[in-house]
Amino acid sequence: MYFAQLLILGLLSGAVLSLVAIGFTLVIGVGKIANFAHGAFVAAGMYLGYEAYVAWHISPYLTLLPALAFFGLVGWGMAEVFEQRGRKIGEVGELLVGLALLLLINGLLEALFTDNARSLTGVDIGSVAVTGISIPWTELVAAIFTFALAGGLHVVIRTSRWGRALRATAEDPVVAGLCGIRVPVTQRAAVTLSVVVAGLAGVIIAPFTVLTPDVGTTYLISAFAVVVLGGIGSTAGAVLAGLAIGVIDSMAAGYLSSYWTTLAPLLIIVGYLLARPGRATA
Amino acid sequence: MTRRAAALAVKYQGPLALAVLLVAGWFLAGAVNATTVTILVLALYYAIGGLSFNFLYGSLGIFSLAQPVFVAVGGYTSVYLYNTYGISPWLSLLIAPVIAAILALPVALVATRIGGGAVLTALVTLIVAEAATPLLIAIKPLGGAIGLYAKSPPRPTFSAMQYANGADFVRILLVINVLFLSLWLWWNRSRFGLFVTAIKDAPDAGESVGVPTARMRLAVFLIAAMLAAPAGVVYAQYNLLTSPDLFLGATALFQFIVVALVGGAARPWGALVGSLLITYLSQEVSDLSGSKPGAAPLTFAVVFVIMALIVPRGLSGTWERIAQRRRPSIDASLGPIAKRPGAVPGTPPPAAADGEDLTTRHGLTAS
Amino acid sequence: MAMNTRRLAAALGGACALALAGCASSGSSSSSASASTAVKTITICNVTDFSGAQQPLSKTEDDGGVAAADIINAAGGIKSLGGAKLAIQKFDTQSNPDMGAPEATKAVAAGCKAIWGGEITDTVLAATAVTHRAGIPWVDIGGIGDEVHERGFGNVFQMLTTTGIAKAYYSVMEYADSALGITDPTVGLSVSDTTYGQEFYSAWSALNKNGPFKIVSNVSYPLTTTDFSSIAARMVSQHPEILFNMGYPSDGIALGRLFKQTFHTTARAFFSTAQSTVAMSQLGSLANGQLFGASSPPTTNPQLQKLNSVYQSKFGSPPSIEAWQGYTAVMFIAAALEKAASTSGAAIASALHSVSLTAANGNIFPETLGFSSDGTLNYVPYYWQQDQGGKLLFVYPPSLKQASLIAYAG
Repeated sequence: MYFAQLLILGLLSGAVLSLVAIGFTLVIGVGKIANFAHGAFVAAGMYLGYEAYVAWHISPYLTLLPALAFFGLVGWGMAEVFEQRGRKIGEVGELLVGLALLLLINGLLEALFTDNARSLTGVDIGSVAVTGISIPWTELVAAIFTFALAGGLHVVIRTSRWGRALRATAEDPVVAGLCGIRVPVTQRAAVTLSVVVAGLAGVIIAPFTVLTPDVGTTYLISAFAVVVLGGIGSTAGAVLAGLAIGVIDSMAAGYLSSYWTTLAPLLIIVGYLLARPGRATA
Repeated sequence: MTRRAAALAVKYQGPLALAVLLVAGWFLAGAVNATTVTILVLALYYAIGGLSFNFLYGSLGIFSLAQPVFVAVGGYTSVYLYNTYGISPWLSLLIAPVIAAILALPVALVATRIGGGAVLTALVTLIVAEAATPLLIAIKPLGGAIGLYAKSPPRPTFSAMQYANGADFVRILLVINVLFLSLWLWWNRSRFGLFVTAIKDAPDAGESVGVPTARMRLAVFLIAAMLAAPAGVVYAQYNLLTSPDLFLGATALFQFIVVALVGGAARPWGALVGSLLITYLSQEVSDLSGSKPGAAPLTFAVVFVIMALIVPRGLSGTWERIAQRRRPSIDASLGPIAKRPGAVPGTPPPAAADGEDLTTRHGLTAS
Repeated sequence: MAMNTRRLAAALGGACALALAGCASSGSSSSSASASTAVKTITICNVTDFSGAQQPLSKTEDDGGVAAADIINAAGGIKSLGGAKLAIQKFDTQSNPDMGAPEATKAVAAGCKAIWGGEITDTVLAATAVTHRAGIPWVDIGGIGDEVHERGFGNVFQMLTTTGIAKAYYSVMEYADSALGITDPTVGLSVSDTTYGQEFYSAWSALNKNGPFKIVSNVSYPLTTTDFSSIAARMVSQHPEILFNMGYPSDGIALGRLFKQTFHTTARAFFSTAQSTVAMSQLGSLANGQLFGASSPPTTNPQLQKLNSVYQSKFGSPPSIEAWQGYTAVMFIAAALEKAASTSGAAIASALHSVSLTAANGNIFPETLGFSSDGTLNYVPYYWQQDQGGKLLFVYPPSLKQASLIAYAG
């Protein structure tokens, strides 16, 4: 029973990790940008959902639509900046821009909301009883959203023309360009999509997560781990790796001591990389 | 000045600059007030970490966020050995780098084999840095999350590296900085250094002439780790404390790359320049902002955005570009390709013109 | 090569920067009025985390101290020093232990006669090393590590220590046992894997060396934990009578929600460091039965009323428990200045060791307060409240209680 509880809790928190990682794997794998600010966009989404509810009583699920537009604009703008400066100077410029964005968003959140931990309470859509515990529907909705998004992306990438352009750009931008694919547009689209996914993820997980301005960095690091394990550029990999790490975290907290919670997934990733070093760049 | 003296001054500009810095800094340390001393200690400490990062990035293109781990190794080694066996921190300055190198080996294996350039190595080394805290906490003799408090003898003594005032710490850190800079300048001219530069830009060529690339890349990573450890030894004595939070906390993790990027990534002087600027700036921001929440990260964000848009190569790198553009280059006679400013890490250099001296282009010999 | 020119310039630039920084800073004056001439204002300083993660706590502590200074000045200042008024200067350690020594150095250079504040133990340790050398007394509020007073610096005072807090929790837990008729006090424990959490745990365990509490599940978690569901699962897995979290206030709120909503726990008591007003507003009816360290004394004396009105009019809300601590620290400093009739650091420190805070000189608590020879408070005013049906009622100490303790579950 206890084991089943831990498993379900692990899958649920893993789904959240997967959601954050999907956006990250897109921006790294296709957009070819290590967006250090990815976690910060998740945090921005969380605070957006929080503020919309607290100030205007709009449920986070309704905030999703305007959030899509908002983050779409922000993402497109960010892609332009990266294009302008980042690519021309090489990786240092890219990391600089990412760090700058991270600091900017963190600073803004801290200035607007201070460092008080906040919870978005009151968004209660019931719960479902399973293995003796009650799982709130807010968490299940987040998990369902993750799978729907991953499934949808997977289908689009496998079957549509645009999806093929994405895959080709991910594999080899130069050759893709030679085949007539408009690589800069494709990459910009991938970056925009990743920011949108990050922001929407934030809105969706706000009802059951504790908000602090630097929560973004925690998600960034988790997203890194999931993406490295799941393979850069693979949405299916992001989902599977996210779920795996969520379950490992949960089991570690349930049976061992806390340093294993942080250590176990990290050890697995390092071990995996040592065993198959070339895999990470696939 | 005679022409010969001037020529000598130009040829030995690196060592001359270091000598000036050492002497000026040594006397300044005793002449400035206590607040400036603490700023200098911080700045010189970050500079060493930034230097170890720059060395690694410049030599191998590896963007290592794991350098704070090796600095922490220095701090923990020194305090643990002193508390338990009474071993002077001066000795730890030599012992800690060895331990850092040993611990760096598994990290080096992953980081050097992973390929993918700065992006992937940044990710992997960040994960390593994150894993270091729970590892440290798990080793009980190292004090867990609390860390270790350095025992202090009743009066400050030289052998315990504990002083009543901070000026001596400034001097120690200054000497370390100057020493490492000298080592790096020597490295640029040494055979080993030339090989490493060669395999960085054209690894296949290196392999084909029999250079043991994999082993050399490992060695460079280990050297970078060894450069980081002494900073931790001194800093732990300065704070009389070593703890995971001091070396691996959220702010500490990014401090080294911040100063390195601002000062100029991969440039020897980058870390020092960047560190002095950033530390001074943080103090000014904190004084002026009057403690409004979010003021500090916002200010740095603005600095970074400005840097990213205008001076992405950092201060050192930009200066270098300006200086190179101004000089009538001997390479100009070789045509447009040779005029291209210094190589960008991670991208392959364009093909050389026939008869062009590659060593000149890569800055390996004075022109 | 071009690189050499740049290197030389960088070195000269570096030396210039050093020189400039030195020139700029040495211009600030560090002189103070001599003790023999009349002193018009006495500068006291708050060195704490005005930005960063600790900012919310530090801000209200500072507000409390500012309110105390206002009250003292309005009543005529420090009478034994000719009615000198208190002036406050602030220094921000940015929730970063690296900033402890630099900011303390600045405070000393600015002529602070006494210092209060501090949130993070490591920061306070580094900073007090500096102020101790300079002879300036420091009343530490939030740096609760026991090391702060264990170094034997005669001029460092601690209002709250981890041991003191552990004692406060231990005694109310014993009381809850008897009040609720718990014969087998099993405890489900979670500890934050930080300096604070680990020290709290070892201090409490030392008190519990000979029982009676039996820890049936024990899990620790890193500071960055946002998802407490598996931690909560583990805490309730052995169905303990008591749930105990040694972590940060927001951890207690997250666990409170999980215990009631997800796990329907049967535990009869839940202790955490959650703050009552925040928890009740965020948890609503889920906070029923949760026990909190109280945010107001059970009885109101004229000093507390004055503080409430001054604080409310200046800051727009009633003072929190942190505000009281800041207020009390400044009241202690004022009382010491009054007793010492001098602004020398040694005299103030000596007076702090001997002065008592009562209703006559600003104490808002019913108990008389004073510092012991080791620099800690002889009595830590800690009261306990419980959410009973949405009402916050005092349940401990028994002499001041408003209601009997009820069980957490159900």
